[in-house]
Amino acid sequence: MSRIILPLLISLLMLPAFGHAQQDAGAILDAVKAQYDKVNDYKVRINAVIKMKGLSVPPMDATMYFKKPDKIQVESDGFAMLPRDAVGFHPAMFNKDEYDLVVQGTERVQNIECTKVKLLARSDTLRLQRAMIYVDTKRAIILRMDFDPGTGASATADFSYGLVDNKYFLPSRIDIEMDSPMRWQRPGQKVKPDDNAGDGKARISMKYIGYVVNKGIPDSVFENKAPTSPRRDKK
Amino acid sequence: MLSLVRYELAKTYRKLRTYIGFGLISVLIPLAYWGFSVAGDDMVRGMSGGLQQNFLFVGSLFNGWFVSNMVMIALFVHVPFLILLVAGDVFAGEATSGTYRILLTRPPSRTRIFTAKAISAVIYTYSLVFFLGLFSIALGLLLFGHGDMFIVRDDGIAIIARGELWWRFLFSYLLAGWAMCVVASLGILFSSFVENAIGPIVGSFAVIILFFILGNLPFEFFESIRPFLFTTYTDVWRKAFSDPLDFSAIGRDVLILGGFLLLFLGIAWTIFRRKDILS
Repeated sequence: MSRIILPLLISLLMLPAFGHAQQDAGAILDAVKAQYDKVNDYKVRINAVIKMKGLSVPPMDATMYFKKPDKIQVESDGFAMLPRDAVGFHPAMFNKDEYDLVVQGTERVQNIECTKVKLLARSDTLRLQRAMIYVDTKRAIILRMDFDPGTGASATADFSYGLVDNKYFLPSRIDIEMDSPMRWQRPGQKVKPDDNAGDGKARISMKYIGYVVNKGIPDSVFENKAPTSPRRDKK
Repeated sequence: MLSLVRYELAKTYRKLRTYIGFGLISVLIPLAYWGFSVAGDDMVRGMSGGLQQNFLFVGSLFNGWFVSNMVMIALFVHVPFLILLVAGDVFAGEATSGTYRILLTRPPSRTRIFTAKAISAVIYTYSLVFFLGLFSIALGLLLFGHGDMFIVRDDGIAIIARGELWWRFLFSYLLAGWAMCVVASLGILFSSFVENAIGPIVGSFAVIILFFILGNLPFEFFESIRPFLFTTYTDVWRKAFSDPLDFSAIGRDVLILGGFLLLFLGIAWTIFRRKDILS
């Protein structure tokens, strides 16, 4: 009898703890969002460098515009290719109604103790189906994000922050390491022994320079242009 | 020597056949660009499809540079034929028009006459290649605008910054001209054999097609003979778009092409020097 009662008792005792963990995850995400909520809009220049086997691109420059709640527009004088899930990263993309949140312990990132929060999408229409964010709870900022950009690939984004106008913590640099989407081979071309060299990872580094925060950006900047928000454009 | 070259050039550019190549390019490129204007954007999207799933593309890669490069890739298989229209006529044309004897009984030596004809063929070759380049780039930029260039290479895909494109295209056309000079030398070689221009033109082109096919058959046996076919090296112009520039590979290809050029011209010169004009 005691064999049945004991596990049952332990399970019952753990239920509030599980609920507490859920609540904590939500609170952590809310705190992160509150940090970003101070920012109504911003304009920033992005310098991006991509290193990927099978792809050669020069360093790229672009200008990104952001406006609450999740309007994002990226423009460039020339051509730029930027990682979809990271370029306009904003915690608002994680809506608590759309994701299940679980705290999964702690881990040191950039020498800072971070709380790991796992996010699982409730709908399969969301582009980001799974993510793990590493939150510096003292500053309420995300220092790392592990995510699946799709097609079975995985990616890790490391965020460095700057304090803009002595008020706003905004990314000054994002370094992404992801499974390379390039599996390039010309028809008829034989694979040379050194073709499989390397770790098959793509490395993207984006520097965010010259933030102009809360100066007002007209809606026309975002009108009649292809949406660049990564939230609901799963392909 | 200069007056001999000038004389040969005058003869070349006075013939209607010389302008067939220029005319064909003038017609084909606008037609190709019309096609690109309809489906070019989809073409770029298709070529970069896998990447657009993970990357946000800002700006367009469909521009004048892209179409110029695509036209070069598409037309470069046919340009040898246009080169051979003139190069194949260099000696055979003299025989056809009955001017061989008059030409060879004049004071200049056979070597000087041969050199003048070879130089005029090289000038024609470069004039056609540069016309193709200038016309395709000028019209492309006019119709589709400027920008960075998207390119498919052996080792993957690349985007080349607009600032580098002028000199890279110039370099690629210089290399393309050099490769076409080998084609011209083959035409001169065939032309020195016979007395009718059709033979050298068709014969040389048949050799080029044969070499192209042999060079691209995916069998081990043919791979072993590839290094001995000059057509293996005629796409050296594409290396002008490699990043970083592989000067050793380009230099090697240029030297090998130079070797073929000297070989073909050497044989042609030997035949021309021994040509019996009395019979």
